[in-house]
Amino acid sequence: MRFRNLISVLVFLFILVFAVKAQDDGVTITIVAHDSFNVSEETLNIFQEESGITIEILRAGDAGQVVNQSVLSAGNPLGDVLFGVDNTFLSRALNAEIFIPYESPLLENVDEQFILDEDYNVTPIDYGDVCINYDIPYFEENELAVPESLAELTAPEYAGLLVVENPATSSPGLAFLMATVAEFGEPSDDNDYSYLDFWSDLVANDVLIAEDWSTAYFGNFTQGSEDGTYPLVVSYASSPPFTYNEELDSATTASIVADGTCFRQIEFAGILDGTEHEAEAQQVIDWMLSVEFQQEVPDQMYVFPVNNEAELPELFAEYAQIPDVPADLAYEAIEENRDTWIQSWLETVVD
Amino acid sequence: MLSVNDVSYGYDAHTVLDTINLEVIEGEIICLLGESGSGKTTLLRVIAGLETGYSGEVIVDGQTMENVPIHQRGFGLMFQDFALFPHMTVAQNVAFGLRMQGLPKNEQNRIVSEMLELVGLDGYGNRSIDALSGGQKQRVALARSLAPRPKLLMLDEPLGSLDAGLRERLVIELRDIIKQIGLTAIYVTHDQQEAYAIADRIAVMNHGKIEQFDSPQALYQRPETAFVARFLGLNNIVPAEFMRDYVQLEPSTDHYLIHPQSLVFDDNGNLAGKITGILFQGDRYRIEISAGKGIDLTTYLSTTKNVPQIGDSVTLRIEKDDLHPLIR
Amino acid sequence: MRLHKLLWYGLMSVPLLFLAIFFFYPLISIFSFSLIDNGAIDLSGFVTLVTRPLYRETLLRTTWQATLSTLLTIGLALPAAYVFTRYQFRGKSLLLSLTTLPFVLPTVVVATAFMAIVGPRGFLNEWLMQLFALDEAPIQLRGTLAIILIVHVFYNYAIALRMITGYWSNQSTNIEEAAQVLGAKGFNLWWSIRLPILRPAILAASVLVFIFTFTSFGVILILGDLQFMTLEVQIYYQARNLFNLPLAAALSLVQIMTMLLMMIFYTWLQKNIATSNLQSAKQVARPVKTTGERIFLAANLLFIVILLFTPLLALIARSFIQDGTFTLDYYRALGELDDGSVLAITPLAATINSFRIASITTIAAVILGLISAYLIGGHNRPKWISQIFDPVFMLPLATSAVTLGFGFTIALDEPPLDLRASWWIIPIAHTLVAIPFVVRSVLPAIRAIPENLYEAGAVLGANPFTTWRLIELPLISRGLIVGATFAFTISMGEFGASLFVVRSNSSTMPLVIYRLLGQPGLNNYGQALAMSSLLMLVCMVSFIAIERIRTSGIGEF
Repeated sequence: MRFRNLISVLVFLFILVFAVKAQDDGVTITIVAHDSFNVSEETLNIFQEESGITIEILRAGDAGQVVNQSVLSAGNPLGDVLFGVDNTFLSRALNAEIFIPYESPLLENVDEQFILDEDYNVTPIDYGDVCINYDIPYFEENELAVPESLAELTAPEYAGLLVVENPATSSPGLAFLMATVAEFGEPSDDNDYSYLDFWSDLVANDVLIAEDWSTAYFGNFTQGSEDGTYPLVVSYASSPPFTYNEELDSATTASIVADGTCFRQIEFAGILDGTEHEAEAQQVIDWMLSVEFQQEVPDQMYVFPVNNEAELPELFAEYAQIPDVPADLAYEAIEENRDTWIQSWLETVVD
Repeated sequence: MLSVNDVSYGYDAHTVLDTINLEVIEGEIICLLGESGSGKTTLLRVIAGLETGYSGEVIVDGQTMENVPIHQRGFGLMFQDFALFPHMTVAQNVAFGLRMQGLPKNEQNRIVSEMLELVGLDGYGNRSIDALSGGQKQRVALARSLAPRPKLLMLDEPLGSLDAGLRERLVIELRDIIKQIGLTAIYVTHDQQEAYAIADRIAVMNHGKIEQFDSPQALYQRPETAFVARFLGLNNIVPAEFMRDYVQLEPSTDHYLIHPQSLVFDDNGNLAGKITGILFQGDRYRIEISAGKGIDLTTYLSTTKNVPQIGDSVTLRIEKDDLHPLIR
Repeated sequence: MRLHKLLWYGLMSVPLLFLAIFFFYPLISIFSFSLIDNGAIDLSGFVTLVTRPLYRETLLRTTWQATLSTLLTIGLALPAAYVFTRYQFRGKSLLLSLTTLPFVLPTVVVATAFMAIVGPRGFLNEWLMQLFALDEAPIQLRGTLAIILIVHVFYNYAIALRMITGYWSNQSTNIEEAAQVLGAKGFNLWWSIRLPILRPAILAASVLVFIFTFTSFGVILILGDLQFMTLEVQIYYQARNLFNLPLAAALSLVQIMTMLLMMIFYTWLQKNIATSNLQSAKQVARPVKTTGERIFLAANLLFIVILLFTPLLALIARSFIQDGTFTLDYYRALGELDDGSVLAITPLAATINSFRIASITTIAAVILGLISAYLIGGHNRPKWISQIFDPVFMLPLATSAVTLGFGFTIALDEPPLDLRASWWIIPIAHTLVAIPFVVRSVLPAIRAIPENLYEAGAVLGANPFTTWRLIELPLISRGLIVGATFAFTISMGEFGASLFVVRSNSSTMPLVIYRLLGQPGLNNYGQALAMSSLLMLVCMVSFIAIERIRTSGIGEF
């Protein structure tokens, strides 16, 4: 009797396991991407049909992991195209020499500021800005002025209102830290007020430090959680459109986009050295720069297109604020100093 | 049907069995009698195949058991601590051997009922093992070992944990059951009363050796060694020198045994002594007598006779025929 | 007979091969990659480790926190184990299964659940503030050791409870009864009689809980204070964020060494485990009689309810509440997750995928774990074998998941082992972590079987396989079930290196939850909670199914 049970279980499982996919002919291009890479089935299918290329997607975790995994598999890459290396990890990727350069013709529609690598090892695809989001109703009801610079955050009227994320463990947290580094500079004899001084003041002003974006936004932000008590949160410029409220016919949050208060993260794609299908990989890169793909990135990935021919979706056009002058930090400096900045920050913030 | 030829077994420079030779005839019940440490359980285990690494041969029905795995020997073994399967019922335990034989279910059930009735556990089939008393567990273990009609049944101190009255009763029942079924059996115990009751022949074991292998009567009447004699409770072992003073004899050995029954009180006897101890044993007295020169003798006196006192001087009669030579 | 020995050796080598290919080979690969630079050993990591006091402190802190967590968990679970073993009450086995649920939840979800109760604006503080008219929340647990310990207990309670209960349920009560007749009671009874009998199970559970809490990082990351890093968090940070592989490798090695030391300590404690009297669980348990017993039972059940179920219930409750009203919207929204994009995974697809992976993991872990348990502790096993292989099989648990994940990428990159991005790497990674669980659950049970039962079976005509199937298997089935349940849970909750490997596009339930929590959107949080509730439901149903497969003997073995 017991054996019968066991056998039926095994049979059931074999059926479950072997749901095999049919094999296609034609070239398959594998995109090694982070967990947030997304595109609509429709756009994907159109490309696959028109080009005859089949797309497979591998997920490696977050942006850092994509780079790490690719560096570890240099020469025998996990896929053909890498998507998701951003400016904070660019140095690491370029130093490992994992790419085959490619200059896409579509780059003529892309602004200079996005082309960080002049050798075209990587191609910019989208960008996102880490900005402070604020709770519009809260500021209105309490007749508070929205801060217009990072320095203002240390003012007493904003005491206990800001929640940030731990840069050691959170990507937006790190981005915000880097914005402060760019804004205030590192401690030195010439610098009166370094970013560490700024942070000391922030801590004195009762800033809350959350471990990750999720906790900050969904746990502490007044517009992210019923229990939230912080109307200022370090988040993305693409977050406010999602707080669109039908009844009020407007979004309940917005971003602070004053000069130097946001940090720009540019995402790149590149052809991995070792691929057997360089020509097709180039086609995929072109596709990612195409208007069809670019117009979807806000809805699909909560980022903004680099192709200036792409139109933004309505909600984004209305409610996403894009900074004119984000914080400026050389990508080489980021990889070099990341640890130093974080360690110094930790020492400053923990007394 | 069983031949044990020159079997020796030991480990760590410790000899457990020393050149054992044993023949068991089909249908007979033999007993391995000895103290703990005499090797009797080990011998059983060697025969069953539970111990390997011994020298010598175990031959059953003309076939050597050397490469025959335990489960293919068709023996039965009743363990000292029962080894009942805790997750099975009484009936399932008893049926286990039958199940291994591949008997159909109804046949199994029939034999199980038969066995349970035989051991007096009729109706206990569905009981859980841990709900049983020691004596009941014993009987389940017995039934389990009997059920498959093994060609050789081995019982390791099967009555060890029972009280005297129950033991006495069960040992007779056991013999009846085994004879009734017609099994060949080897019974291990340290108790000579059990041995007398159960066995056709008894092998007395001492430190891994078989000292004597004989029927109970022969063993009792003609023990060959002092060890065997003492083990059987016969303590009147006297040196030849001593006896020469009282009886005309050409000593063939150093020591002689006198059975207590042979020591009768006789006013005209040839051996004088003094009573040093009297023990009331219900139907008789056991009387210790000091015969001088450090020799103590034991005899019995029926309680219907007049009881002597400690310190009395008595005379006993010993005949030459009463002296029984001991080899060592 | 020689064939059967050969077969046996062949069988024994399977888990060893599995471990060699999927654990040692990747581990050695990542270590050589990290520590060998152009033929020379890069000792920079070790130098940093030794020179910076931070790392010594981290090691101490990690050990300290793990020790406390383990003691607390075992201490709290023991009385409950008593209750579950000795008392017969309704809903017993269901309750026991439910305690395993916390294990499956992603840390992020658990952290939120706890914050909802003991956070600055959580239920407890609100209530206390109201009751005592306070201005500030009296319970400030964020960043304290206390909250870490609480959450660790929350997660690991089930391990201790189920392992100890599983083992204890089949221990005959007669030794205790004998002691009680002789006058032993209360503390004495516990200390001199019960604990020694339970030693194998307590030690087994302690090992697991210690390793888990030692290598815990999700909990530490989210609930710890900024500087409270454990070794694993450090490795995570160095390897992932900074890509400082030499240091990460050095830290990993320290972690492994520490775990090995602990395993040696554990093996030393394990010696001389006597075989016991086995008794059916039904016999051991009886209904509650005295008032004292009732109170004790109630107290333990209450504790379980408060510690384990309140957060779970809070979570489930929140998934049904929007703006203070009851709603099924979040669940409905889950059904609409399919927005026609590549990442869109219907909950159904994610559930099926999770379930598929978990089933494979469970079967593989049970089979491999069982064989390993025999390899380590089968009867007549020489001691040196168990002393070597026991720690070996525990190693995957004690190894940094980040490190192992990287190891997979480096090692499994060429046919026939080009699995680094294959769907199969996930169940493999899960199985590595699940095997130790099965081993720890089954080993004490195997060791508790008296030798003469095998002999009795053999004499009665059962060949070795039949003896195993009919006599041994029923007696270890309880341990197997516990192991299987945990294997399943580990897989559903995506433990270990699977978090750090490259995966195909298919998704699993925890991944859906993580994604939902990573994007703004009013509904996403609620949906994440709804998905978490579904995750718990799937597990519950599976636990019940696993229990059904168990052999039904007369004695509830």
